[in-house]
Amino acid sequence: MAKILLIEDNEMNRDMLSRRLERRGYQVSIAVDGEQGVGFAQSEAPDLILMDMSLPVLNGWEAARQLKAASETRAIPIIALTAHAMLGDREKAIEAGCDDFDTKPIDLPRLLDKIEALLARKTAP
Amino acid sequence: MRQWLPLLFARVPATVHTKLLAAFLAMVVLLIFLGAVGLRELRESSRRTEDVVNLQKKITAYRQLQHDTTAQLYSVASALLVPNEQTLEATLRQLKSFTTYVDSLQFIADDQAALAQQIRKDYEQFIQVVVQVVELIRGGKIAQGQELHLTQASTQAERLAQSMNQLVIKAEIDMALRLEEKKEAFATSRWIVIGFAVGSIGLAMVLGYAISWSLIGPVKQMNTRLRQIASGDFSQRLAVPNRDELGALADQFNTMAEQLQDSYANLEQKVEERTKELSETLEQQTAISEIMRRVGSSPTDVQPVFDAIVKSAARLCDGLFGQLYRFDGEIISLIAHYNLSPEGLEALQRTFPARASRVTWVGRAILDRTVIHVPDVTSDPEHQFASERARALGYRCVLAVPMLREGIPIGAIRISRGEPKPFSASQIELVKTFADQAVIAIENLRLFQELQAQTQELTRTVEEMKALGEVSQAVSSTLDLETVLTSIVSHAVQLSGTDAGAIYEYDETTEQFHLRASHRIEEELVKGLRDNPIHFGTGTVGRAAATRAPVQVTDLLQEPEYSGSVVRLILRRLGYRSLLAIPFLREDRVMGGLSVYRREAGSFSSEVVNLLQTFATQSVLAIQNARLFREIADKSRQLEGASRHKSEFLANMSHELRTPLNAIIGYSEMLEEEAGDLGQEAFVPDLQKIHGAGKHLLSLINNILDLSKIEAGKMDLYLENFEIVPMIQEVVATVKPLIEKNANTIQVNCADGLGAMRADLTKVRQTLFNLLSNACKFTQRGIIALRVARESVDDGHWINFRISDAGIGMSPEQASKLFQAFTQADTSTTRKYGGTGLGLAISQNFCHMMGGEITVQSALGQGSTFTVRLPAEVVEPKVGQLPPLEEPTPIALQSSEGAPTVLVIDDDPTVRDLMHRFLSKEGLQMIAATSGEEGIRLARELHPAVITLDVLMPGMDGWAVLTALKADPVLSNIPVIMLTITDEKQMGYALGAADYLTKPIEWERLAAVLQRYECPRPPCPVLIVEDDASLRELLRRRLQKEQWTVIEAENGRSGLERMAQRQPELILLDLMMPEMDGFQFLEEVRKHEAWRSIPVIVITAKTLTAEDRQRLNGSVEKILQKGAYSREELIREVRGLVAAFIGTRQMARVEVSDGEDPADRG
Repeated sequence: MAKILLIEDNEMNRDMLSRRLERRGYQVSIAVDGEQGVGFAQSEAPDLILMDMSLPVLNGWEAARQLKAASETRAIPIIALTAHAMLGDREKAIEAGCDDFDTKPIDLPRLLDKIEALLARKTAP
Repeated sequence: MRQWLPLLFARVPATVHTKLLAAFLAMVVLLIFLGAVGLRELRESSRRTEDVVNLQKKITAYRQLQHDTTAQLYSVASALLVPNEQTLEATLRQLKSFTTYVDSLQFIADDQAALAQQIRKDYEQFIQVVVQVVELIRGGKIAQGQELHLTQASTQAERLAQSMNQLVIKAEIDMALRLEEKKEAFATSRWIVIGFAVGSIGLAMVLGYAISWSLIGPVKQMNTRLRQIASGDFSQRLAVPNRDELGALADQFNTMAEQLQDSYANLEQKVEERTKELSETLEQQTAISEIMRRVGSSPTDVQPVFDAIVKSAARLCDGLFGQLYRFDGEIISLIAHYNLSPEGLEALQRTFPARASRVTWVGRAILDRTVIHVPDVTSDPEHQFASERARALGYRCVLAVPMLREGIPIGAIRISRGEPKPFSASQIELVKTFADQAVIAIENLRLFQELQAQTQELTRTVEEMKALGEVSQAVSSTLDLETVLTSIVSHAVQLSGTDAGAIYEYDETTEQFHLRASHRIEEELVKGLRDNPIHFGTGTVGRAAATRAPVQVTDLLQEPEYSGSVVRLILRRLGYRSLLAIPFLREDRVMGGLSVYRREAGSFSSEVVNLLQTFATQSVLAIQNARLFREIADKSRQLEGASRHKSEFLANMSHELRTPLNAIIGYSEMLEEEAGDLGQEAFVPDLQKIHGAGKHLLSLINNILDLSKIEAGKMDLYLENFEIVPMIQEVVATVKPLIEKNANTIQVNCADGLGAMRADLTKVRQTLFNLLSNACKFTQRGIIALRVARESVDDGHWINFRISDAGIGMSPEQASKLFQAFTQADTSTTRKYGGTGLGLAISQNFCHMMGGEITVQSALGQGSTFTVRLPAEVVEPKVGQLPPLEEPTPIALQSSEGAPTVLVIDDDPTVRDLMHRFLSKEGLQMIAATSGEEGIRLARELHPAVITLDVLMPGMDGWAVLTALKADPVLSNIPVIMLTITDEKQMGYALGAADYLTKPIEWERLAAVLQRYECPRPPCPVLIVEDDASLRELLRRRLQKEQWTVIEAENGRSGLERMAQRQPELILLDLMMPEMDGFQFLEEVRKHEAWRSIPVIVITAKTLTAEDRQRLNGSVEKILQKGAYSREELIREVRGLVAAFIGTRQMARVEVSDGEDPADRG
């Protein structure tokens, strides 16, 4: 089963999303800030990363940049999650290297579509 | 011969005719003579020939006779020799017959009578001898007879033969002579004939030559003379010897030449006279024009003009000397003179200036206001004094002409002559002309001086105004206080004519004046002023501030009081002598001061003080403005901060609100799933409620955030290409639960080949979702239709999303409010249907951002159709600028009640939009036309209840449309409101006319219009304001016939006066009038509460010229520029007009028909 790294500082969101994803059969590992997320991404080599953008220690934009800069993590697709489609959030996320983008609150079916699409793309070539 | 012969002929005293006749006759005579001579010669020749022939015959006869005689003699001799009787007898007979010979000879030889006589005699002797012989013989004396015969008869016979021979010879000689003679005579006659012939020819030639030359010569001479005459030489005469017609002609010619010479000489004299006259006139004209030129060229300096006048007048009138005097109503003064001797001038200068008196000629001319002409002063006993002086100065004749300005004497010209020769009328006229010119010059000078004074005054005022204008502009255009104050002080210094100036600002806390701006002040003084701030009450500025009045120091050197102050010392050192300080006061508060410095001592004029006070006022304004600006800038900085805080707050709030909402929505959704999985179905509905409420709350928060972003202009477009059909499917799938909730069904109809579009996908989706969810909310068990189609128009491809529901529908008023944010007129809707009331506003904003729009068609109870119209290719809008409102095509609000329709003709989309909102609020149906032509077409098609018409439109303007409407009998009764709204200034103007009549007035129409304003209690007063008197008269008669009491006014102003006297029930008003036109009049009328309700029927021209149009529109523009009405006022007025036209009853019905207010459909 695909391994998803969820980087989220908000405990409730983290709990809720991880549980719902696990219920859908994904293996979910958790990081609570950007720095930790980057570290886990390197150590655990997940299939996909779901990352909140407003993270402590190292924010999501910067974390995404680092992930995409490092050769071992570059191939991992990242879906950025932001509170709301704020001004230029989407562009900023794509620019930082994220592969897709979704807004919170999570519309689970939509998010699952995006996850599946990215995983399929990753395994396809 | 060449000269004398023609001369001879010419001298012959006979006519040419006679001469020619004589010559002809001479020729004839000569020819006759020639003929006669010829004839005579011929006759002579013939005679000679005859003679010769006769001679020939004679010779022949002689020869015969000789022959016969000889033969006779021989035979006689022989017979005698043989004496026989017979022979003797025969001889005797022979002798006898011989006698006949001799007789015939005698007859032939008539010219040789002697010879013939001789012969006869010889013959007779012979016969006698013979007879004697015979006798002897017969007598037998034969021997004797023979002897005799031998001696005598033979001799005799020989002699006879000799004579006969002689005769023949003689005849032959004669014939030879005659032949010779004849030959000679022929030669002679030939020469005679030739001579005569040659002579005739010569004579003919001579005569011809002589006569023709006697004729040609004079003719040639005449010709030459004529040429000479033609070339102007009249002195030459013709010397023709002819005594014939030519002679007479020559005499005539000479007479004529003489006459010509005489008349020419006369003419020359006349021409000379005329030329002299002309040159005199020319000289006069030249003098006059020269003077005029001087008058024109030097309006300031009239002395040269006067000098020239006197000189010209004296010279052109053969005057000895001339003077020009001026008269000021009392005193006569000598102004200019010409050719006066020093003594004469001295004498005059002793006399003048003098009080006007009749003692002098000039005085008389001035006092009598008439020309004084004294041909000889010595013969004027009345003026002893004058004549004495005349003698002294050496003049005899005087002419004095007064200079009159509008009949008032202002001087005189005097010309004096040395000899007592009167001035001619033309000379007097000339001097009069000169007098007039002098008047003109004086008048010019006066006018020029007045003008100059006025110009100077004006220039000064203009300069001041200009400076003030510049200062005002500086004050209003820049808030940089230093720039403004520098501008003020520099203008103040320049205009006041001072050398330097400074402006100070007063600091109330320190009670000090600080230098803010200066002009032409030396660095040293600037430093001095900065280092030594002026305290309130000290220094000139301080004292001016303390006394609240200008203070001036007229001489710094004379002012010991402040002599010790540093600034004073610097001022003195820099050479300043006087200064003036003006305080800046605002409501008695000191704001600062203005000082000007001058390098010369003396007080400042009140004008300068006043001027500087004006500048002080401006400075106060500038300082005030600057202070205000400083405050505003502070405030706006604060506001900016507050706004930033608000945005941050909103962003934070949304984040903060959303985080717990996330949990609520997420967990409830999760629990819902888990409850299902765990078989706890009973919890599901409750969990769904929590989930739903959470989602609603979230959408509210999102909407608020969206709107705040839109308002802050911070909403961005994220443009991407996407396929339309999948997007629609996605939206429909999302909205599905809502559709099913009210048991509705959805019909999606996507046209073929929709393809892709470029837009902000999220926003398109959000918009469609919003509209669809609205449709679901307001429809129960109905069909919701979504139709998507691509539309190609001139400006590109558009995608139209049409969402129709079978819901409760809306009133026009509700529809008009639909897209306004936060307009929840009826909270019950929200309670009943939910929603924030923001959805449509946000959606509309999204569409506008993408260059599209949402329109709605709805009627109460009949459902609504929302159309989202978006460009297929949305372009990135320029930052900070929303795309303009798409021009709506004629908006037709379907009204269930068939509400009255108003046709709005206006080229401005904003105005149409405004009118649409306003009219739908009034419950009226509105049709819009974007041009005059379209307006007329729609009016014919739809026959609206009222038409509003923009006055100022490009192409066919309001007046043209109005005329067309009023000219159409079907449309002429539709009330028209002339209306112009300028969007920039939010100002408008409505020509509040109850109806319009076009010139020329159709009386039937007038009657129809009047019928509507039937006089309630006749006689009612009606006011006609019309400048055309004849039309006024016509209208008056018509109206009087209809029982109206007519009040007339010829323009707006008098119209107002009449109205003040008596208030009319109706006004007929022409728009184009002098003094106060119809627009101004209406404006004034509307200012009076009592007059506002009086119906006004406007009269306009049917055929408007471009000029008329310009004037009408110009009036409208003028009113607009004045700012006639704010939009609200205007709408109020239009409401009144529309109500008046449509009728209050109808309006009321429409208002009542408003049902539930479903406007809030977020």
